Order: sequence, then C-alpha cells, then structure tokens
Amino acid sequence: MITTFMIYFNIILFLGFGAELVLFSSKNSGRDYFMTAAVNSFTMLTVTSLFAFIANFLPEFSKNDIYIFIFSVSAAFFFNQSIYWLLGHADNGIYDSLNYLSCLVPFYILKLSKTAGAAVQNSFGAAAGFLAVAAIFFFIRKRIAIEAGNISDFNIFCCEIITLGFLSVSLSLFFKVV
Amino acid sequence: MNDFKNVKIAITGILPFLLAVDCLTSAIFFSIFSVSAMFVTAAFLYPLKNYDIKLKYPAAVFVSLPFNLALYNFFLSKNYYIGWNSEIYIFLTAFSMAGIYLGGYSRTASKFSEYFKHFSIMASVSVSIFMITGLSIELLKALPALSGVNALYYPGPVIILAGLLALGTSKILEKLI
Repeated sequence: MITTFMIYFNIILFLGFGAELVLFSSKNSGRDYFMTAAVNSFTMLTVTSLFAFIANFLPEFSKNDIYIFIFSVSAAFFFNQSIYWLLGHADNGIYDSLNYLSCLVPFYILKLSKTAGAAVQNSFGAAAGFLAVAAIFFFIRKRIAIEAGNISDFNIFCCEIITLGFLSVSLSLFFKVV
Repeated sequence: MNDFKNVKIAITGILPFLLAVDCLTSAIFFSIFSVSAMFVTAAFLYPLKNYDIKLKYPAAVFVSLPFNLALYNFFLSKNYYIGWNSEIYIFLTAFSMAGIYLGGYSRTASKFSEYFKHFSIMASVSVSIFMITGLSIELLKALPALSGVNALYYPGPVIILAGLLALGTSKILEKLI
C-alpha cells in the first residue's frame, strides 16, 4: 500500500500536475498558498471517491471516458468554488479552481486504477503527496528568491522549474520508482 | 511583456504532456493537439470577454474536447503512432491552461492584434519545446553508447530540460520583442 501511495506521490510531482499551483499561487502569503493546496487536494480526493462510489451503482457510466472527464472537471470546479465560498477565501485567479491537480488527476487515477477501492487509496496517496511536495517547495522557492538576488522574475521561474526537476529526480531515486 | 507571464503559463501548461512524448512523431502530434485545444479554448472565450461568469472556463474545456477527439480519431485512422498512453493523454490535452489564460487576458487586451500576438507567442513556445524534446529523444536513441537507456523517458530530466529551454526562450524573446 505504501508503495502505491508513494508512486502516486511521485506521479503528481513528476508529471507536472499541480505545477501551476506550486509555481503560481500567491508567492508571498503562506496562508493563501497552503489553503489553495489543501482545498485542491481535498477536492481531488472527494471527486475520485465520489466517482468510485457512483461507479459501483452505474458500471456502464464508469466505462465511458468522456463521462469520466466531464464529471471530474465539472465536479472539481464546483467543489473548489463551494469550498472557497464556505471558507470565505478569495481565489486569486481561475487556476485556483480550475487546474490540472483537481480536474485532471481524478480522471488519470480513475483510468489507471483497476478497482474503485484502489482509486480511492491512490487518490489519498496523491493528495498527501501533493501537500508534502507543496510544503517542501514553498521553502525551496523562498530560498531561491533569496539566493537569486536581483535577477528577473522569469529567470527565477526557470530556476524553480529546474529545481522541481531535480527534486523529482532525487525523490524518484529515493523511492526507486523508475 | 517583460515578466513573460504568457510564456510561463505556456511552459507550465505543457509540463505534464512532455512525459507522453517518446519520439519525434509523438512530439508533432502532441504539439498539434495542444495548439488545437489552445486555439479552440481561446476562440470560444474571446466573444465572451464581457461576461464575468466563471462557468465559461470549464465550458471552454468541454468545447475543445470534441475537436481533440476528432483529430485523434482522424490520425488514428491513418495508422500514425501518436505516443505513449495516448488514449488517456488525448483527454488531458483538451484542458488547455494557455487557452484559459488567453480567455482571462481577453478582458484586458485593448486590440485583437495584441491578443493574437499573445496567442502566437504561446503557441510557438509550446510547439518549440515539444519539438526540441522530441528531437533530443531521437538524438539520444541514435547514440550507440546509450543503447537502451534514454534519460528523457523519465519525468525529472524532462522537467529540467523544460526549465533550460525556458531560459533560452526568454533570451530569444528579449531580443525579438
């Protein structure tokens, strides 16, 4: 179980799913950043679990890729907006509600998992993994901004992507995924 | 224009799809699918620029999906090799981060030419990164010393390559624009 969770933990980081949240969420405010990451992880977990539950009653519905895609995108958008509204959190851009992590990762997990139970487990691993990566990268990014000095914002962005790649390589070696 | 936000979005938007590229042919097809989704999403959102409804963004994703599926079926029927796990990735490419950015940008764009310039920059950056990744994979395949081992099949090196290409792109764009 740990291995499966860890593979999904790595997949989130490796495939760049969630990179837009990690790289673009309000850079200075830690509270906003972690709030956005937590809401999207929770949404991803909820959407995958909900679809896995529905698939038990409507097996034909769960076999059609188009239905899964439409369900995951629309449900993720609806859940994100509802949670932001309940928490009174102003989403800074459309990417806070409509992003690869909460909209596409459920589709990806549902397509790759063999059973509904495995999908729920994998989404749990992916959500926990994304939160861990987001937390690690928050401090790495601060360090990059300090070390970079007065170079342009775009060059800092490039350094962040390269660091994300090195983090991905080191974690994949650590968990022996590849 | 100095912060290159459009280039940042274009590069972040294609990061997950770079992993599905495993040869030059698949790089060509993924760049076609990405640009198609970007074009359809941006074209759908542009006339709606005066309507401040967030639902138009997921609607744009659903509008671009049939176009990508039609392209996929067309190329599949011609027996082209589209790439690793393409039946999943074709759905994922319909979700265009760059197209959504352009939809948001259309509210502030003063002229259509400005909007089109942003679209052209984002499309060309996406296509060039796909093509360079595809060419690098082909080059590594051709090296006899590395037979059977291709670092660019793994996500970490691909993300590092994308970062280096982003640095190069910014230098070129600074001189061009």
